[in-house]
Amino acid sequence: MLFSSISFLYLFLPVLIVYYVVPKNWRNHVLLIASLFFYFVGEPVYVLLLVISSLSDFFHSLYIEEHRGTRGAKIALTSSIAINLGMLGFFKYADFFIGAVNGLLGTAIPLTGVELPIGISFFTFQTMSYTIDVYRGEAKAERNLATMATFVCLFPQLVAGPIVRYVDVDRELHERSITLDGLYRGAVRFAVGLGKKVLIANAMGEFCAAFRGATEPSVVFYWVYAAAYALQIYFDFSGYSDMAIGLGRLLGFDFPENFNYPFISGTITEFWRRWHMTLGGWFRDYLYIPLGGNRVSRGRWIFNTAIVWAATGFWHGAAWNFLLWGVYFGVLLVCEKLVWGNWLKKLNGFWRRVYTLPILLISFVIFNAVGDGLLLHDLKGLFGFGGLPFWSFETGYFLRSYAVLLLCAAVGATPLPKKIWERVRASRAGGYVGLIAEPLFVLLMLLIGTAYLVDGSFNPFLYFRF
Amino acid sequence: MEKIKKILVVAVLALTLVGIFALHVALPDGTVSDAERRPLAQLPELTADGVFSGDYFEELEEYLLDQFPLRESFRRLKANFQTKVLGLKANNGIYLVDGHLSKLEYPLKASQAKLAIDRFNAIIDSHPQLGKVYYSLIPDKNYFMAAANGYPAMDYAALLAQAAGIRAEYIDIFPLLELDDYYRTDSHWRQEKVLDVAQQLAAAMGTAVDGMDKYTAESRDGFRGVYYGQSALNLPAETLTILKSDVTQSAIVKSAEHAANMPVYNWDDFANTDPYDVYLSGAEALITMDNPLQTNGRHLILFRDSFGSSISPLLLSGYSKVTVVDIRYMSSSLLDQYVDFTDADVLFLYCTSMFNAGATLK
Repeated sequence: MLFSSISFLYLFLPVLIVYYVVPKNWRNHVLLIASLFFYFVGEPVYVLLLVISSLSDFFHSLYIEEHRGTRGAKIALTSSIAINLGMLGFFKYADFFIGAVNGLLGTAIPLTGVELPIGISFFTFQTMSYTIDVYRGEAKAERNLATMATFVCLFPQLVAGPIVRYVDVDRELHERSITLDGLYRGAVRFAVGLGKKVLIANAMGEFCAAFRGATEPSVVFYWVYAAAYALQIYFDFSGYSDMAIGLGRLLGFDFPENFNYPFISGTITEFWRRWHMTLGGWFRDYLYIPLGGNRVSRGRWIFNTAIVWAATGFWHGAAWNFLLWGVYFGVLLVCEKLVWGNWLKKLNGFWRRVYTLPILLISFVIFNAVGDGLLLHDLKGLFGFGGLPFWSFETGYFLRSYAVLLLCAAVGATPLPKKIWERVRASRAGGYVGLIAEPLFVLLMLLIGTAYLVDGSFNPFLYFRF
Repeated sequence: MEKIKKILVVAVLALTLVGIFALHVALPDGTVSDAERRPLAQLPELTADGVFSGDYFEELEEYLLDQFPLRESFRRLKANFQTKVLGLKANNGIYLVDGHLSKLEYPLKASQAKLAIDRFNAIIDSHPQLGKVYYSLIPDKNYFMAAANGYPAMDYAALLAQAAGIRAEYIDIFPLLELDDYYRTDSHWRQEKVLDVAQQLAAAMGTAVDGMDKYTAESRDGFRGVYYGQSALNLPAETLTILKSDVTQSAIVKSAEHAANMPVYNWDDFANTDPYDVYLSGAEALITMDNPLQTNGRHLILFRDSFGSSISPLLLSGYSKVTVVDIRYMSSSLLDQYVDFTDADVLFLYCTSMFNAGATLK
C-alpha cells in the first residue's frame, strides 16, 4: 500500500482511528494488525517474511541475552544475521549473481525469477540492527513477541524507511503518549510529505518520462533531466520519509530524521551527512566502525571505505549501475579526504556548490541508468558526444512547461522556505498568520494531493524497489 | 492561540480523512464517467484468489479512484492547479490555445504511417476493376495550434512526403481549413464549415456537390467534445450543427451491422457517450448511402475515419451511391463480400493523427 494512495488516505487511515480509542495496552496490537494488513495489501504472500523475520530475531535476541559473552551468543548472532542476509540475498541479489555468472562463464543457470518483496532492504536492516544491538549490550532483548513484531512491522517506516533502530523506539514501544503537540506536528509533517511526493516528485517523474520519450534530445535537455531526476528522487524519498515521520508522530513515535537539505552541501562528504542519514548511520555503526573505521592505516582505511560504499551502492539495487554509483561516491570521498579536501575548504559556499552539484547530478544519472548501454548513452548525452545539439525545440517546450515546477522544486530543496516561514512566525502577526495558514496548508495539501491522485496515473515510489 | 492552531490543524486532517471516507460510504456508486467517456470501476468481488494474488487490492484502488466523492471537481481542481498555478502547458496531454483544446500528437511515427500506406496500397492493388483512386489528408488541430504556440508537433511535411507513396491521386485540402473549422473541445471538424472541402474533393474527383443554398442548418446546444472530459477544464459547451438537404433526407442508408435502414443524421445519438455520433451513427464498419435524387450512376467508396462521418453526407449529392468504409472496424480482406468495386471511385480520406496509429487499420 502506498501512503499516496486513495485506499491508504481514505480507507486505511480513517479505520485506524480505532487506535486512539482502544485502551493503551491494546495499541501495539492494533498497530501490529494494521501494519500486517498494510504490508499484506502490497505483498499478500511475502507478509510471511515479516513473520519469519520477527520470530527469528525475537528468539535469537532472547538467546543472545541469556548467553551473553558465550560462544553460543556469537553463533546465535551469526545465525540471525545469516537468516536476514540470506533472505535479502535470495530475494534481491540471487538473479543478479546468476546473471553475472552466466555472463562471465557462459553457463546457462536458470534465473529464480522471484519478485523482490517490497521494503526488504529496510526491514532486514532494521531487524539486524536490533539483534546486533542486543549482542553488543546496547539494547535489551524484547520479551514480548507482539511488541517485537510491532517494531519489525511498524507500517509508517516498514517499506521505505527511515531505517529505525530498536533503540530509537524502545521506550515508545512500551510507553508512549498521544499529545496535541505530537498530533499537530505529525499532521503538518504528513501534509508536507504528501505535497512533496504528489505535487513535485510525480511531476518531476513525468518530466523524466517525457525526456526518455523525446525525439529531439539536446545537451541542455540531458542536464535538465539530470536535475529533474535528482529532484524527483529527493522529493520522492524525503516526501516519503516526511510522511513516515509524520505518521509516527500521529501514533506517538519519534522517528529519526532522514534528510537535511542535501543539495546545499558544499562537499560530497557533507552530502552524505545530509542524504539518507539513517542508512549512512547504519553502515557507519554496523559495517564501517566494525571494520576499523578511520583508526587504521591509510591503506586499510581506503579498503574500509571501498567496502562500505560498494555495499551502499549495492544496497540500492542488484544492478551494476548501483554498484558503480556507490564506488563513484567512495572514490570522491577518498579524494576529498586525501587529495582536494583542504583546497575545498578554501572555497566560499558558492564555488563549493559549483563543485558539488554537477557531481551529484552525474551521480543520479548513473543511479537511473538501469539497462544495457543506457549509462554510457546518458553520460555521452550530458557532454554532447555523438553530434548532439546544444538546444532543441522540444527542450524549449519542456523547459518552459516545467519552469515553475523546476524552480519550486529547486527552492524547496533548500532551507529557504522554512527560514521564511520561521521569520513570518516570529513576526508580531505571526501567531495570527499561523492560525490561518497552517490549517489551510494542511487542507490544501490534502485536497490538491487528492486531486492529483484522483486524476493521475503516475504515482510510483522509487525507494520501494530498494 | 498556539493551542487553537494545533487543534485546527489536527481537526482539518481528521475531518478531511474521515469526512471523505464517510462520503465514500454514503454516496451511491456511479456507472459511467460522461466526461471521460468510459465505464467506472465497480466494487470488486472479494475472493480468496483475488486477495492472495493481490488483484483484489489493485481493483479496490481502481474502484476507490473511480468512485471518489466529487471526482469531477477534484479532476478540475488538479487541471486548474496544474495549468494555472504550476504553469504546465498541458494536462493529461491536452493543451489549451485560444479556447481550443487539442491533444499533443508527436512525433510522426513513420513506421505506423507506413502500415497505413501499405494497407491502402494493398486495397488498391487487389482491385484492378476500380475507377479512379484518390487520397486526401485532413490536418489534425495540432497543425494549426502546436508549432505556432511553442508546442511540439509531428512533421507534417514529412508525413505528406511519405503519404505520396499511396498509389493514388492526391487532393490537397490543407489550404481550405483553419482552426475555427474544428470544434473547440473536440478533435473533429464542424460539418457546416467543411462544405468547401466537400466541393473541392468532389471537383477533383470530377463531380459537383450541392452548395449551401441547398442546405438547412439544424443545431443542438450542449456539445462537449472528447477533449473536454480528458482535459477536466471547465470550458463552455458548444453547438453541434448538421446540414440537412433533400438529398440527405431522401437518402437510403444501410449499415452492414444493422438490419433496418438508418437516417443520415440521428439526434437521438446526441445523448451517446460521443455526441458526434449524430453523423451517420458514429462508429460503423460499413455504410451504404443510396441517393435516389442523383442519376449519374457514379459510385464513391470512401475509406475514412470519424471525420468521414460528417463530410460523407455532403459528398452524397454528387453520387448515386456512396459507400463509407471504416477499416478500423472491419478487415479489408472482407471488403469484396460487401462492396462492389467495379468502376467505383475510391477516396482515402484520413486525419493526419490516424497515420500515427496505422496499426489500427485492418
